[in-house]
Amino acid sequence: MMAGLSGCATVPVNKKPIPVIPEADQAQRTKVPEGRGAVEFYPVDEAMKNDDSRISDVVVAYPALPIERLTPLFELGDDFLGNGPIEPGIETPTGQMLQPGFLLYGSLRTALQTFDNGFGSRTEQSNRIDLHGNLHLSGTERVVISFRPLDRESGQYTGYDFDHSNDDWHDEFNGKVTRLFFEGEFGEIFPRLDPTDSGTLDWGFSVGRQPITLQDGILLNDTVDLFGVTRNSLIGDSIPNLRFTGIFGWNQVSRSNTFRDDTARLYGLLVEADTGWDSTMSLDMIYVDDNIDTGAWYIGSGSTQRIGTLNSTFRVNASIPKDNESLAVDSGVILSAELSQTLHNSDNLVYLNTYWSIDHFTPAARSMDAGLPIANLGLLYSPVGMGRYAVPLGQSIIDTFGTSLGYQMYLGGIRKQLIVEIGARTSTESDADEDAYGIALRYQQAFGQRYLLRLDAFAADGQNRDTAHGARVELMVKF
Amino acid sequence: MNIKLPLLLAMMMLLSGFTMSAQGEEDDDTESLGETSHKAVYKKNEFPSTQECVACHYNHYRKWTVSRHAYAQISPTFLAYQSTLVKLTNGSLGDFCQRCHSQVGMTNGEDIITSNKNRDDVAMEGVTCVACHRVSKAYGKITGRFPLEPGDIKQPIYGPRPGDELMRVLAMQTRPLNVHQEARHLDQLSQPGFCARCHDVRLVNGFRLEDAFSEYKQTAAAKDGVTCQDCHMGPIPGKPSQYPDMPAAVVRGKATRPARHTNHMFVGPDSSIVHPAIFPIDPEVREYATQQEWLDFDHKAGWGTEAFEESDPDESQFVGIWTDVDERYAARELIDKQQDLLKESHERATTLLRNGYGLGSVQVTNTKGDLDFKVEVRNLTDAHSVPTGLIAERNVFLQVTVRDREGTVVFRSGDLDPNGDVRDAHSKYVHDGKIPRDEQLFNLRSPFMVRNAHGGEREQILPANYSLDPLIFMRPSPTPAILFGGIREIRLQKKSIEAGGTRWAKYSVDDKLLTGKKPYRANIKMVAASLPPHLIDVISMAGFEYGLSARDVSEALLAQYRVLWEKDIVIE
Repeated sequence: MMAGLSGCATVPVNKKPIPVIPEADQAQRTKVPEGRGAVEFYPVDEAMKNDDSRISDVVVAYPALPIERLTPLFELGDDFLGNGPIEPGIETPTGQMLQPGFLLYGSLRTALQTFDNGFGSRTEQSNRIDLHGNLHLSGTERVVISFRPLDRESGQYTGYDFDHSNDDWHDEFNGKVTRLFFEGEFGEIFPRLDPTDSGTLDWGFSVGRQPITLQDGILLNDTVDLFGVTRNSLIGDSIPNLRFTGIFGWNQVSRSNTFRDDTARLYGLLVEADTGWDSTMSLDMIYVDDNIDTGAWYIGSGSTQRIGTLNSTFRVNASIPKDNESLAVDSGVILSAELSQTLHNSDNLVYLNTYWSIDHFTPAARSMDAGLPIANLGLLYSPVGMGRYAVPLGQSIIDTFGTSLGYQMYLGGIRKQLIVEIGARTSTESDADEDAYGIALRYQQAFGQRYLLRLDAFAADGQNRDTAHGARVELMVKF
Repeated sequence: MNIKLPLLLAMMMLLSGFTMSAQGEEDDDTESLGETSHKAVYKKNEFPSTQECVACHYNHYRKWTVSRHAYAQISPTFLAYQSTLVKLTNGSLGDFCQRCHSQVGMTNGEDIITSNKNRDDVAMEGVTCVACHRVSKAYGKITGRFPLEPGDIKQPIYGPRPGDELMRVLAMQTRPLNVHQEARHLDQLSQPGFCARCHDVRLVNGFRLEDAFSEYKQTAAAKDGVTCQDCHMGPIPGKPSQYPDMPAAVVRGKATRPARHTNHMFVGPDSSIVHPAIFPIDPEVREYATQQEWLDFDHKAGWGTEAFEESDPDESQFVGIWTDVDERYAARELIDKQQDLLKESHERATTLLRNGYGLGSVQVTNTKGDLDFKVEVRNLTDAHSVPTGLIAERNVFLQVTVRDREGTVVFRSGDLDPNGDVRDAHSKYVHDGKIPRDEQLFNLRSPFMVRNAHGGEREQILPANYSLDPLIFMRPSPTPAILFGGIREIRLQKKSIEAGGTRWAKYSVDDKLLTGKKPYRANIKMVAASLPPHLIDVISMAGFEYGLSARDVSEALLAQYRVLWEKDIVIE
């Protein structure tokens, strides 16, 4: 096939013969109709061709947005996304090149918040640090370790409680490792097994204590000790991208009562595909085996698409206990729909989210600070993630139907935004009196390159309680 | 109360605040930026230029000068795009994009965001010779973050075969050759994994921006051992083919022994939009006039052509050296040479695209009431999806126009707004509510999907999620991104056609629009474009190099829309 000095490269045994084409360069030039004259335009009048929707003809000299690289708080090895030489690294016995580097990053949040959940009031100053260490090994391999040294997922926090005369200061300083996992790709770790890249050894995997969120957090939202393996970038007929992921969790599975259950074992098969019908579909199947509570199946499926200009995501999630039902494991279904629309002439967004909870759906696993399974449906259902600040419509969702209607508004660019939301929920049981409704606001503004100010407020009524209300101000520093 | 904790908090705040305020000072001090840029210019470049390689490797060099690799750092759209993203991420994106586009510049420590006039000549060569041939090891999917071995032209280079021929040639010389004294074999250069170092892009936060290589590995082509190089460096763009063996170099007039030859033009869907004096890279052109003088040379008006010069042109339009007609004639010769090369590259790229996209059959499925028909669009390759690579910016769409017997248009889809955008939700005219959205548009562009704070996901032009958080920060994901194929905050929804696959574009003409004047005639065009004008609009805040406005850029891109295939059918 090759003459002269060719043929030195590694060649797969089954390589298809490649035809030799002499002097083909000129023959491989193709002319086709091009440019404005070759394509069709929507008919508009002359005035519209040059109105304010026309792309600007003003020359703006580059670079009009000068900015320097943001230096991390702490880094070892090559600069994180920094200019300058890159070190060659170390070759492992398997032939992989490793270029170790360590980055410390995260965020510090401090908030002053006051609220009355309808049963009692509380004012607190709470603090939270999310500290992550990323040990970069290669383009695909890394180790992540995380801490929350100032608070715990149970809601205990380091900070000041203004409502108690004794022990006002809470000290929850801790060194607990909240995440510690390794992730990588088999084919990258063992490159010599496939030197011609003609195989399919690019199996991704991760092992260790790691967060996992399925079906927008409805089916599963927890940090679990697990091993997972995945195949991505697969294709099928009318499926341009398909992913299969298998997981096995052996520890730290918090079932629906949110208590850590070290006897539970979690098995899952997760599938997601972009389809030729302009949608993304997912199907997640989980089985949890447990010595304390009964084992159960959990199935969730979702479909995301645009209907016209309406963004839509529909989900069905179900929990199916194998044996006796309990508080932590019960049978039920949640149907949810997330709809949104970008408004003309702006980036602003209107959203309408709804759920219908039939019987008592229990997630496969849910950490204590994750809030309700439907937390992502709106401000009124989601926790702020700090201290004990109330979730406005945070009561049990057994046999309920709820909704949220919100407007996210950008104020003069992306660095200031306001969300205004109203919502309500009601019981689908005729004898229950669980109607509740509320309003919530969130204003966020970025300052400089690292600071974020967040203001929250809510009021909610109904559900056999006094009016609940709250307000908070939070400052976040990213590093 | 434990005093240590408030103290700890205060220290953290102070530390973060200190870093921020120091950064803020840099932002506000544009003079400081300028100084840094100039310092970069004065840094010693440690890598040889292509101008040194050309002495022996002219054949490879000539094709490389018009390649997308050579264009990588010149591209005004790239510069504006990356500058916009670095700004949006508050500087935390660092040199992520820039690293691939100018390995030499970044290795030399040049500023990440600065004008090209502040860059070293070798840095301006983009993906230059040393970006591939001064890498000593087989790195994996590393998203461009690999080391270059520094050193002058005499230092070893890495090639697809052992350096025996170089040794033989060097031994024949009676006086020393100022060339690399050693050619080392890097087997990976001949393998797809070599391309994967830049063409399988995963951001540090876990977002998968490109997965051309990962796609390829799942295909029949990979199983057959057909490589990226077989289709993209062979004589037939887009099909596995190879040249007869040829000399890799000509040393002091003598050709080396024939070996496998590869085409370094790397044609692709994008073509240059800058002045032809700036690209292709040609030192003769650059020495003839300064960059600004060339930008003043109006080649589109015909300066230096006989037709123009003999038409008694208005002399007041000429400035500087161009007031001399002889200078204009001489300049035109250079420009013609440049345009010939651009044309060659562009036409080979058209071949590439036609080898990737096919327009199949058209089937009329209903003529009673509404008129329904469907058009088959095929991926002709078995090596990757089409489009692939930067699929969020790759418009490949159908234009369908149905006319009645008298030529009246009764239906249209795929037509463009005045900016050249298809009428999807990102078209400025559609977004502003001035023209209707094209509800039956068939476009293979894959959108960026960002997760809204609430309300599911929406398509967005830029890959930056500001709905969740107005302070976007590029940091490694604390979640297992490989396991879930990316991150929840942002993703690509692939709409490409998988390798060897087919899509049917379905159209329905409402019977209210039908005039009854049969037969109807449908004209169907498959159009391949590159970056959409709506993207040019949103990145224009960063400005464009070479004195271009956003409209200049979008018009230049529009001028390159190719009608790859066209069909006419009659519907009785």
